[in-house]
Amino acid sequence: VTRHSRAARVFAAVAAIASIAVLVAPPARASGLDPGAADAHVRAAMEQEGRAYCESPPKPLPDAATRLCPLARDVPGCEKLVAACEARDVDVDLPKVPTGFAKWLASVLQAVGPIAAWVLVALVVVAILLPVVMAIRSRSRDRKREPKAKKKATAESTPLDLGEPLEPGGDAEALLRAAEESAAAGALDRALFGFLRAALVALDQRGAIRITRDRTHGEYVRSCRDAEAKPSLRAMVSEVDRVRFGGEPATADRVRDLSTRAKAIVRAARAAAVMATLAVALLVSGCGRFGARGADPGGPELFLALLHQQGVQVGAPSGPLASLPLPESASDAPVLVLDAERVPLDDESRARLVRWVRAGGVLVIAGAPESWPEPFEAHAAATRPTREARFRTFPSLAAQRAAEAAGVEGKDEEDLAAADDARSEAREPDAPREDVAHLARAESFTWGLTYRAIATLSGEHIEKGAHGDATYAATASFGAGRVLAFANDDLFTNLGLARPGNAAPLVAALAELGNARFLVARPEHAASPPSDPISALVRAGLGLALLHSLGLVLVLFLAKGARLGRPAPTRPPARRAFVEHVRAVGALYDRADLAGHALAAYGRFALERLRARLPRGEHDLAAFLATRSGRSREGCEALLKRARGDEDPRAPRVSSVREDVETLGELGDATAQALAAAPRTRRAR
Amino acid sequence: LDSTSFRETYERLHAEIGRALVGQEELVDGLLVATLARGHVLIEGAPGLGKTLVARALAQVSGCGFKRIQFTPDLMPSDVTGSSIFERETSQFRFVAGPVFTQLLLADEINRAPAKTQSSLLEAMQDRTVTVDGVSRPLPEPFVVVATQNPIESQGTYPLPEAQLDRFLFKLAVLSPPADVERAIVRRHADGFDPSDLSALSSVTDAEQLMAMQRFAATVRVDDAVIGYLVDIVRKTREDSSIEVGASPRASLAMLAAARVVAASEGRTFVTPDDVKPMAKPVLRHRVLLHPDAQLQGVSADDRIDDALRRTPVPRVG
Repeated sequence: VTRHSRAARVFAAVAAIASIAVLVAPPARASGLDPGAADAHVRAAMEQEGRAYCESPPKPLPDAATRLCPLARDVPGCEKLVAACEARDVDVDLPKVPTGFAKWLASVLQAVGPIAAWVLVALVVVAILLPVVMAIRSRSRDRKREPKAKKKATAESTPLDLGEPLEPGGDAEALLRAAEESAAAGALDRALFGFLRAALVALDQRGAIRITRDRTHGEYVRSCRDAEAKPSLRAMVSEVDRVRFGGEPATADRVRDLSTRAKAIVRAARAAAVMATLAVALLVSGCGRFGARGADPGGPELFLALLHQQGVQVGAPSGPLASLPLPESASDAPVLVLDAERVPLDDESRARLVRWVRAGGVLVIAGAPESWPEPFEAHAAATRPTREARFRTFPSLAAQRAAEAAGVEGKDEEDLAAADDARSEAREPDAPREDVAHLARAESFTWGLTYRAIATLSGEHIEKGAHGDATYAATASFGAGRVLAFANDDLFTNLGLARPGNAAPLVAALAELGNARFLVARPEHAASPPSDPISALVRAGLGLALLHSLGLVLVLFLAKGARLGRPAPTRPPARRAFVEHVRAVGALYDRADLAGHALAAYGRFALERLRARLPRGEHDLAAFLATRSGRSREGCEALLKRARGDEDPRAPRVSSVREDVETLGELGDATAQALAAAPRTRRAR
Repeated sequence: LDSTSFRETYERLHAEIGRALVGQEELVDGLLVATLARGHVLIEGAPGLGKTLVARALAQVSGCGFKRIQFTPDLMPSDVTGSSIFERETSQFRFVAGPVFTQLLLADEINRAPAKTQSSLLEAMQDRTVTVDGVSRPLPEPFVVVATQNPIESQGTYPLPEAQLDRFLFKLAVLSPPADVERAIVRRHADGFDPSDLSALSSVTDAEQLMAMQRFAATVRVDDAVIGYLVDIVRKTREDSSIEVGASPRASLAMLAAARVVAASEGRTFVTPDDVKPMAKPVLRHRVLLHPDAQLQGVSADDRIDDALRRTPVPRVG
């Protein structure tokens, strides 16, 4: 009995202490979020994570970060960010609605601007591609001129065989190694030549020279575009020529000297190639766009750090939002934080989110209302004249939500707010908390759902149903779940949270949700599984690389394949036109100063034709010609004499070319008349 | 004489001629190389480009004897070689030497004389002797013919026969100078330069030294690979369908002699392909006869030589 009574006394004491503790202690923070400590946590997070977004912002400032510039002056130590904002010429004042001519001009610029930008981009692309295409085509033409020999020199044997003629391509490192092996084996001349070949191949790959079969060493030196390598190359060529053509011995000193010079050229080429590859890779991957981690003023790093500091469980969705697992009940659903400005949603993701919230999920969404799922029925409202958002939150609501999670599912926010008001009246500690947050953009939204406003830009106290279109943040029930929405993501960004006083209202709003588990979506979660390989590449960030590859294929097609698309040129006729032959023969005779010879040949031809028409037994050609042509006998005799005088090309020329032509013309006329009148003899036939 | 002093003397000769002739570096180099290779030069260019001046300047700085023949249509072979005249006092024929008996002969406008007169130089240029009345007389050493011709005039001219052309080591083309060079030429004349008086040029060498340089150049080493290269170039002109008659083996010898001088002028005792390649055009351009079709298509001898050079692989390492 004694033992039992002692145990009962101990139990009773513990129960009493526990009861007192429960009665004395403030209401438990079921979510673990503490708005009072939020500013301190932000400062601690900034000390831990650094302030890269203030101290080394990316240059030029990205557009997404530029919109936060109005907050930059409010954050201590952000002078560099302020300077970056000023460099972008950001208007930190509230936007003014254009009127009249300005409005018309703005609309015209808005319409023409994208076209002009695309035209500019097209011009830049053409300006880049044109020299590349021309260079490739030029190189192709050069190669066509070279004989198509040495096909059998394969890539495997060419670089390592020092005896092969020097050809473009090959591996400079392999040549260098082969030369070193030759030097080690005592073949100093081969080593000497090998080092020069390695240097030439390296320079060729670097674009400093162009290796062709018809270029001499001296031409390589003179055409070398690498100013640093040129003196070394000249010295190497000089030494090699002494051995190769001068008959001097290849000494170890020479080999050592060339080895040093060749290594410097080859390794420099390799280092340059690596650097160029890295630079291209960085550019393609987009790493060069931003600086260090957390340097983006619009980034989420500080928000994540704040959640960690608050002691809540922070994670990320296990997969794409499009396949987000539906919660079994509202009590076990985590809070999904979605920055719709950083995480653009596709249709599948939007549909899944709606189903997920209906099933009991709790969604915190921030960003332009147009990007939210349509069933949320949210629309952007007109810009307000203030950037101060007044928050009104209920700390006690968190505990109630946690306690009633299972029992009150399905109650809408008005019921909860009414219950909260009732409790507030009953219990003084449950009074609403009021904060002011300073935003970068004075944006608000209207909501088709039944909702409760948490923050407004009106500057007035929030009263149920009286805030109209000035709502900045609000919460609403949607199916079995809830949505906490913000008109933009200013408070979720590094700079927005760094602004003193902004963390507390955000944490207070999140605390109302009564949940200690947060999943923060990243951009990659917004993508649904790709439906085809191209979209997979694009989503993997390789879209630009794909575009470059397509451009390269296009350039290669223009360089190599364009001719396949052209009709084959018709082969010129094998035979030249007769008139070309006559001109060529004439030019040949004229160049040889034998015009007289040509004319004499024609004269002989004409006389032969006349003789062929002579009647049988007739020998007097002049009489025949006179009779048949109706000319005088003396004239015909003189004509024939002049014509016969040119029969012998070795005889000294007594007449000029003009006289010869006149004689032949006269002879031709007379012959034509004679032949026309004379009957054809058998000989003539 | 060694390679260093050869190079220094060559550079001094070049610089001294350059004092009289502005902006014609290739012409001066060609003339010096041909002289030191014991060859003759045919200079082709429009009037007024300094063809005659460069020959006179060479004679002045090399310290050689110099004579000039103005070729005209009525010039007779005996006007070049000289002839025997009868002396009444001794009742004997006495040979009166013509202007060819000199060390540097300027044959100005050589294509204005008929072929017979032009041919009077054949023996002199090839054998360096002159035969008159059955007696051969040697010409003084060194003996260099510098002939000029104008390519744009055809009236009253007599193209050089192929046999005559082949005797010339180089055919140098003189082009119009660029604007800045032309301004410099005019500036010099404005400052009082008199092209007819070259006494201001100093003699860098004498005939003996010039011959010593010729002998040294002939000893420059030539590797078999280089010989193969230059022979390949010359043979390519015979395989070209655009060339009716390619260059003869004499062209190979000419290219070899010229390449040796180029190597020596750079202070080397061996020839490389770099010395051969620049000599191809001056040596070959007057030794190839283009096909009429190629001529009609506007192809020049230099174009075909360029193509031959492109098709000939250069011996390098390995």
